[in-house]
Amino acid sequence: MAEEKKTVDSVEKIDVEKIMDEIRQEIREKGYDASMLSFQDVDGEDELPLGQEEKFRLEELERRVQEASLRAEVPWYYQAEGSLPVRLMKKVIRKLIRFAYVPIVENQNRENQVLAQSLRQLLAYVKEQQERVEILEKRLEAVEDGKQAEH
Amino acid sequence: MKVIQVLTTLSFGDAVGNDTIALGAALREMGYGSHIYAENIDPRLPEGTVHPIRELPPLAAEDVVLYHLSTGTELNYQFAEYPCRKVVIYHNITPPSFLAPYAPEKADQCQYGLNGAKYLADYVDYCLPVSDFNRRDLAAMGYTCPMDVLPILIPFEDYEKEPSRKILAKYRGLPGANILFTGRIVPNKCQEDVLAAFAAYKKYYDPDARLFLVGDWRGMERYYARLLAYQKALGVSDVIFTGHIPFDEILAYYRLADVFVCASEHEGFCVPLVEAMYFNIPIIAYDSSAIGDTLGGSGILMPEKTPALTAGMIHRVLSDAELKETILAGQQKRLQDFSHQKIRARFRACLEQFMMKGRA
Repeated sequence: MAEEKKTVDSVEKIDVEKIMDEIRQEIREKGYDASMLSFQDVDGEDELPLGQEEKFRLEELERRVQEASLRAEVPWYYQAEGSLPVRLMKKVIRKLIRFAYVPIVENQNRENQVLAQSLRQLLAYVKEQQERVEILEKRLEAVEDGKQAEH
Repeated sequence: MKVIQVLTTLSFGDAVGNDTIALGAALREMGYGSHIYAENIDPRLPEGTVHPIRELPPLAAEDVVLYHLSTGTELNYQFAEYPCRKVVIYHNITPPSFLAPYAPEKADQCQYGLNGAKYLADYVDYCLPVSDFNRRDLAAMGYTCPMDVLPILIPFEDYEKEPSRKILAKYRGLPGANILFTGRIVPNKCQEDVLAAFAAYKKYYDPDARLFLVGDWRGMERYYARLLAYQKALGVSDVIFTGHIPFDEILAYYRLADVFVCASEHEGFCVPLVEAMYFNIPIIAYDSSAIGDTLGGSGILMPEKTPALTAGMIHRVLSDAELKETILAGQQKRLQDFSHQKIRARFRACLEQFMMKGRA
């Protein structure tokens, strides 16, 4: 299928290079300091604690629990990479040691399922608690409104 | 014959997710149904939008699977074994070198993704890269199958939703220009260069200006921390890192912006450029990767991005009314190339041609 050439030919073209030359001229004439502290000269280790601040977000938790559930099953089979002789060798080795690692993978998968189920339960608990808190907040608001009306 | 979309993660509200769902709607219109399967499914998606990959039905030789390739996953290799006609929609994968200093595990995942993409070169029948830059990347990886560029389908109707009144009230009417860049806080998007340009702009042109860097930093805490340190070292104020915010707040920042500045060094498409066009904000962008493809001759595409030059360009765009009008006219014309109607028609034509010809 022929590629569609996307241009804006019918709109006046802007000579960006000309504008940039004018800006360079302006920088020279006005004596602006074109240099600046480089990002390479800065490290952010001191700012890290600020950067790692995290607030609770229900949708983030939902997404992570979903991901944990979907990823709970670890496959024991992975595509062998590399040239043909290397791939063949890897496949032979995989067959030879399969008896040892497949049971480990299956055990781990059972553990993962238990953890994923626990996380789903925790998520359900968080949601239930949030709903209870919302109901209680509404009741509290109603009580406070009632008291204000009395006064 | 089935036409199915497969991907590793269907997220809520990101470019790949929106594109997948929109293509699903297009496939429904074409009579194929919208069948999407993913390894990871965002719980915010309406039920039935997508199914877990383990429910993928048996595939026949005449079936077509559209595979969205955008990251490292074992699925990249499993896709090669599917007994059907295989189409890759390539969104691009960030070069690991950008991420390695900050998140080595993410860099490894990207390298795994690039290895997987190269592996697929001999197994895929047709590719639909989302930009010409991506098409060139695939060719460099050894893809020889037919390829046609299919830009991302963008949900423009979402941008008509109500913007956050809280954010509008906070910043509307304040003196000084509002400079905007939207995009995750990640090293390949080079927010440090936008910061440096803003510092120069504030110093020499507009001391009241403010910079909105709208994007999530989670997963890139080290890079975000370094940006904060850089801001402090530059001594520049009025920089707002929003972090992850609700959609109505993103809309508000677009409505407040006077200019959109992009210094990214790697993009597979860059949806925010089209968003800026939609909100009629003049764009100044560094010429790298797919940026020029997406702008298509519109906006201001700069071959270099030194802070003083970029600051001078921001000042020129905001102070020269005629130049600004010309930029906006060009952007509005370019925006028409991303209309749903055009992209869906192109998708339909590409897919039907592929169905008829198959692999050459």
